[in-house]
Amino acid sequence: MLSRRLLCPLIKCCPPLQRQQQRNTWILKRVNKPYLKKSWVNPLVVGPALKRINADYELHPDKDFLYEVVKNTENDKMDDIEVLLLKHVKGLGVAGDIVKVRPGIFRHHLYLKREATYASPENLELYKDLIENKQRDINAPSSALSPITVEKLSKTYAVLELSSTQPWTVEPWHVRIALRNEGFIVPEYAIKMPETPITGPDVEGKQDKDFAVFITINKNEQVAVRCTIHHIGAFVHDNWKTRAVRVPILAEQKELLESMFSYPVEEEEEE
Amino acid sequence: MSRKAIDVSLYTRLPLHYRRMREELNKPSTRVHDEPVKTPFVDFYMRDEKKQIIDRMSDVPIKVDYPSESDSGLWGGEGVIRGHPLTWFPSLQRAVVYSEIFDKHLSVVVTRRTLQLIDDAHGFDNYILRTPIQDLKSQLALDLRRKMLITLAKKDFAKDDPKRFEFIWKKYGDCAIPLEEAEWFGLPISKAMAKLISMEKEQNPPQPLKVKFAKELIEKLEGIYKY
Repeated sequence: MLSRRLLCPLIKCCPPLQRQQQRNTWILKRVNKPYLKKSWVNPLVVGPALKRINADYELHPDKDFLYEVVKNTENDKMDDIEVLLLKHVKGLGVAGDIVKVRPGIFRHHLYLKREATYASPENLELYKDLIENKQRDINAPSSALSPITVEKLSKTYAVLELSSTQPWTVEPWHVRIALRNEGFIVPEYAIKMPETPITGPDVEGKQDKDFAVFITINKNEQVAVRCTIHHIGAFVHDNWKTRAVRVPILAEQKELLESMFSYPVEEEEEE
Repeated sequence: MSRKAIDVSLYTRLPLHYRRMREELNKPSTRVHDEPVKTPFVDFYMRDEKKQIIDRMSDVPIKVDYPSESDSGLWGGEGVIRGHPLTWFPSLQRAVVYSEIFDKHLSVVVTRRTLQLIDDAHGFDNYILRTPIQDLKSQLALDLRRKMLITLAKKDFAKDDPKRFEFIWKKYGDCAIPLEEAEWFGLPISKAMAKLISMEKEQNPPQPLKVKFAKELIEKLEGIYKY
């Protein structure tokens, strides 16, 4: 005999035989069977096949109004819906993408702001140009996460910890490792160094000072990232980011660094 | 409950398309709160297995009430079930929906089922325009549909933007009906009667009797006095 435990997964994986779209709160069932006349009195068959609405007699006010709750679909989880994005949505996709989202987010936010529509066959045909020209548009963000990456990268201080005894010149792999410490994995070909080389060690001249590098994301967007040089063993304040106005190493990058993000200077309390 | 008797002669004078619409409105709607009874044989079930006796199975849908509040919202076919001794109510919520034809956001009282139905129809306009009218179960939905049909018949949408006009016409143009029919669509009987009476008055305005009698008198007098 088949055990219940064995049958359970089988039942779960099989689709229900009679599936109907019932998505209301309450689904009820009659407790009693409404009374019918004898078939020789009323030859009409009463049932789902003929779909007659009324019973042969009037319903009993008590007996025939006893209902049983079959199920309550109030708290059932709704399926995700496929939507077509019309604009770039942060963290979700670019215009022309077809993505799956939770229905509530789509109904109450994306659709009302006209950032997305239903991915119905009619809409896919109407927005054919948008879907096809997705790749060609240069000014649009290259991917769903690229604007977030740009925002995060532009606010980071990449700290290059360099030797205070051995001579060095700053190379892309220094920046790569500094960004890896901050949580960004950047290939070396995406890093564009400043034209004049920076050499050291120079604890007095270059300690806790900045220069900028350019990073390209998806071979499309370019961001300037602030890099700071710290010598190993040299003293660094805890609040070095907000302690004083940042000083550039290279004179040519002065304007660029001033235009970039930096933390506002906090004045220390005098004791 | 007292119901006003409908004036038969007035009702027959109503336009044919309106009367057909009323008939369609009274058709049985999709069952929301119960499922058809399943029987092993068509309309029959096994009453006694030992003696092999079969009996007819009745399939009477559960009675659902639609209170007057349902006419000011979109409940998607849900209603109040008055059982014995319990009563079941639908859970209502207020939500904002967007209509492409009107280019407006509407705040309406809906149920969860309505939101799902709107998603299934791929948009609010599609839900209002393409759902069978007996399933809407709301005067608000019928009024919205009438307004949509009138705007489609008059082509009174997106006048400044030809691109958008073409887009909407491509999407909903097949729902358009002539303006005469659209103006009658979904009116409740009392309003339709009032409309009919006012139209008839406009076509043949009632003449006061004093005008008629004065005319007759002048005709009579013309025989006696000659100018």
